[in-house]
Amino acid sequence: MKITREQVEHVANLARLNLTEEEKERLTSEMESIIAFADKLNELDTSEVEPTAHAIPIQNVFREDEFLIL
Amino acid sequence: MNYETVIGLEVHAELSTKTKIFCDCTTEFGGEVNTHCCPICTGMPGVLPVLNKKVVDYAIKAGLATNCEITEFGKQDRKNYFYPDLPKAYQISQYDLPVCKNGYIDIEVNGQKKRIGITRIHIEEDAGKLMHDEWGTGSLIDYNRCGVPLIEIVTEPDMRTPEEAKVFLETLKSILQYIDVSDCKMQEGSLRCDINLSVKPVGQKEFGVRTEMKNVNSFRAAVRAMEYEAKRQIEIVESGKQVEQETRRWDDVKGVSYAMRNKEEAHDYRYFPEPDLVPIVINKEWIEEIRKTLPELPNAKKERYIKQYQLPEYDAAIITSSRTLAQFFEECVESGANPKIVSNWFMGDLMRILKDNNLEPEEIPFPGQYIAKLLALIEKGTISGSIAKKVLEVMFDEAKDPEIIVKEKGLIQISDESQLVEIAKKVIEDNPQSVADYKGGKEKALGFLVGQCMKATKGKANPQMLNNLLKEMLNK
Amino acid sequence: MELYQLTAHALRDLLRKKEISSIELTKSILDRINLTDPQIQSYLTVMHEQALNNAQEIDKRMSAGEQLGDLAGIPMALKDNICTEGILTTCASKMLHNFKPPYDATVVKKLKKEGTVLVGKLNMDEFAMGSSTENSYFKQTKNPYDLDRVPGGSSGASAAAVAADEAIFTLGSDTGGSIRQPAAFCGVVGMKPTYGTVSRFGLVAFASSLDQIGPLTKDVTDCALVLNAITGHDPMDSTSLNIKYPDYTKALVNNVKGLKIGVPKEYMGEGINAEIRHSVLNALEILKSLGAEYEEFSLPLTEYALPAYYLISSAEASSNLARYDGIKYGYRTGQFKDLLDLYKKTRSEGFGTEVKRRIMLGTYALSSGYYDAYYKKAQQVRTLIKKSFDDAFSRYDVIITPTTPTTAFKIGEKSKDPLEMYAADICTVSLNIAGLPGLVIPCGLDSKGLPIGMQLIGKAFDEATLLRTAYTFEQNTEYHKIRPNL
Repeated sequence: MKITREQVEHVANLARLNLTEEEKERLTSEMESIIAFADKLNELDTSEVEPTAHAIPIQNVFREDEFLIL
Repeated sequence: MNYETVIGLEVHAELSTKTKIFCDCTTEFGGEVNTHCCPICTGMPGVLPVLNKKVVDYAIKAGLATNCEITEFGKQDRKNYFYPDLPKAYQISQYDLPVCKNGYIDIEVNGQKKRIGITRIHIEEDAGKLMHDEWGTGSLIDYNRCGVPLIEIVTEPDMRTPEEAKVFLETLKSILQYIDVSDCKMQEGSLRCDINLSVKPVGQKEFGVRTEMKNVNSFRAAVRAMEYEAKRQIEIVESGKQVEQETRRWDDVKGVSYAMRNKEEAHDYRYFPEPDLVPIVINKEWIEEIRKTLPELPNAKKERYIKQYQLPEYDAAIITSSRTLAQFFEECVESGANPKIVSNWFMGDLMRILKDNNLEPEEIPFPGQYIAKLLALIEKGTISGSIAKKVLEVMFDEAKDPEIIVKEKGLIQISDESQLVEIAKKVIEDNPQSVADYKGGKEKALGFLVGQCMKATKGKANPQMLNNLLKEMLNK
Repeated sequence: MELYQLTAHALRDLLRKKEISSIELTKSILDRINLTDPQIQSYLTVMHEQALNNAQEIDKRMSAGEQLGDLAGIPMALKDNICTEGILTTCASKMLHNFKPPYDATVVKKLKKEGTVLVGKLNMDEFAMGSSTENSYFKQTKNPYDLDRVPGGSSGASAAAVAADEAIFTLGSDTGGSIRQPAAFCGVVGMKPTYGTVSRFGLVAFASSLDQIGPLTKDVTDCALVLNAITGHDPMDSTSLNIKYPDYTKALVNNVKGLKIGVPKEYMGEGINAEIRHSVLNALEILKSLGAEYEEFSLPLTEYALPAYYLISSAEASSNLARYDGIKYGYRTGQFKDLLDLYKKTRSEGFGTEVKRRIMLGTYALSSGYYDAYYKKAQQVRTLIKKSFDDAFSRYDVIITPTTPTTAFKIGEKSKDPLEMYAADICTVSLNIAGLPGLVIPCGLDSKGLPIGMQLIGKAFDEATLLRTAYTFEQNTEYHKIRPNL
């Protein structure tokens, strides 16, 4: 995936970061190589795979509607 | 050309839990600034949320009351955006697996029944409050409201007039109050709504471009905002231009809306599953447990009142629109009062007093039994109907038993014939002209004389007896 | 032997026999810090007075006959991303240079209850992002074995302080190897427990679904003692497991007979330095001679763990670090036009290069149109990686691998190319992705005299088997006794 300078600017704005011209340039190429590295995942067929948000499956963790005495 | 408005609503209701959604700070409204908060709800580094179970209970309850499906496997997600009232810079909400979905609410507008679809109900946390510029030195933030639990109820774009939307909001508010999950106080911000509105020529299938309107803080404001927005959009379309998809802010004081600054609002919330929280799995037992706590809902209650008490549909609708009012009504009836008479009093004087004093039914300062007692006093002839109206006013002021009021103020009706004869004699003496008129055939003069007697007794004379007595004396 | 050189369990025995006091011990550690830390640069905050007061308090309680825990009176230090009430917790970032938390992390509460003596807070890569401690805003921590080399990261100073005897034990945090890689580089014992075993409440979040606090110690026995103190269910952390936690010291058994060890060939390939391979194979032979069996097997998908890790961790970090905006606490820029300007200037000035890079990557991976391709894809790959481990553990009790592809590298050597730096985590990230426990122990030195660490990977919640295997190895070898010359 090609990363453009405009994308870097857009993402920086979303993340509320100011980038200098030099940083924009550097990040464009760095992100492109990191994303190219990430694109390696496309070698795997995951169409039938559920995503895992937590490695250790837990569910229904609650607190009661009470003031804790700590 | 004739246009039709298409309206969908996003309603936020603060849940009436004791503690916040992810920490045990109080949800109480109106505390000293920044006193109802802790490291967790102010998003300090390192803190973690733990979900308040009652929030899920209440969301399920709201879902069941609005005919929703309850999601068996749900999760919470982060909605990322920067704003000072959001201390973590993300709001914990629900994205693709809300607690409830695919429900509906039936409303009635001008005698026509209509079904409004509920797309979804999800749980989320409220943000803090910014206080701008009080001293011209910048903005301050109150985090007390941060983390107060909300449900967001999203409707289908099923409403076609501001009136329908208003009735929907009223119906929804009444349901939420009935099931006791939110106090729905708009003035305290515990019920808020965003309005999605577009216009299209009547008969056209496709919807027009819609705008989203925020900062609508009362039902009245909602209607005004919708009327304004529909008019604005129709003017744009008529002039051959395009409505812009945008978020607008309603200014209720000026009665106008304006587009919110859009240049930095990229509207990319980057939702992703909240990794600090775990999935919410709701099984049948849980749902049934909540279902058991559902009270009779407004529509069902209305039908029952019509059948059981033979109330007119309109009266039944008004009385059941508020759970408190309905409870109050039932208290009266259970204390032995005639339902139809109670209903008449509700529709007349009670509602008038509430309206004149800007009171909610919750603020009626006395129990329903007192209304029953008041009606019994009329029936027994202890007081007249007009005195009863006055007693009711006093009940609102002093929250006292009507029997005590009647005694204390000496309002007991004069039904002693000898006493009435004395009064009548005096009035006849003092008004020879009217007496002559009556004798000359002017029936109306009798009314005047009765009135004079009532005036002399400050309204306490038994009007029926007085009437008969006067006739008797004049005809002699 | 000086007191600062001893292990926690040896010191516990001396303290209980009243042969030494916690004050003496704490003074010994503080003197050692004064002597060696100007070179090592581990500490960001040293609490001389407070530590001595605490030690005195513990001595009083002990002499009054109070029964205290195994770690009572033991001086220790914490990575600077673990919140300590009223004590600077900077995450080695300009952004939090002045941040004093209003509360203690759950692990800190537990260690206080245990009676440990906190002597200070330790340097790290900014917000735990890095593998060399070069990304600290404040200072460069050195490897005690070679001051020109990095101690690893991100818990670099947590490892260096133990190796240099500047603390009896320390706590670090591990998101992709941040305890294990520096433990290997500095020749100490480091454990990342199973996800959900140690409360994350009060650990300044990097990547919430991967972060885990763990101990760095001088030997395996100390590791078990610290685990006993810090594990357990915490109602303040929804991802903390509500199970019965074992007494980890029960696992300290010198016996590996019949233990089945799997050695994934993907971890023993060309990418791994030959001396490290050799050293790990040597360790495996020792375990074999003690009665364990080992065999090579294929653990597929290993090569996908690193990209999946960088997507997931950066995405979560981009959200976790959004709260640092100059409004509430920490750094705020001096001059600004409006709110947007305040945000942007504060964040651009307050974060270092690596943190900004990860925020950018993470924001991109979550942004509209890319979520499915990157974040969701990585979470799906996570499912596959976890399954490949489940399959392996149906056949093996323990998996053993090298911890790092190389021994400690030179300061500045890899700081140019981020991908080269990320590759330092190649052996460690899969465990975080799968939530599994990993224990690193020293298993020799390379020809330059730099420590080599062996990584033991266990089933979820089976820290005990890792401790038993490592303990047996330690009882039959001398590698854990190697110390740097300072």
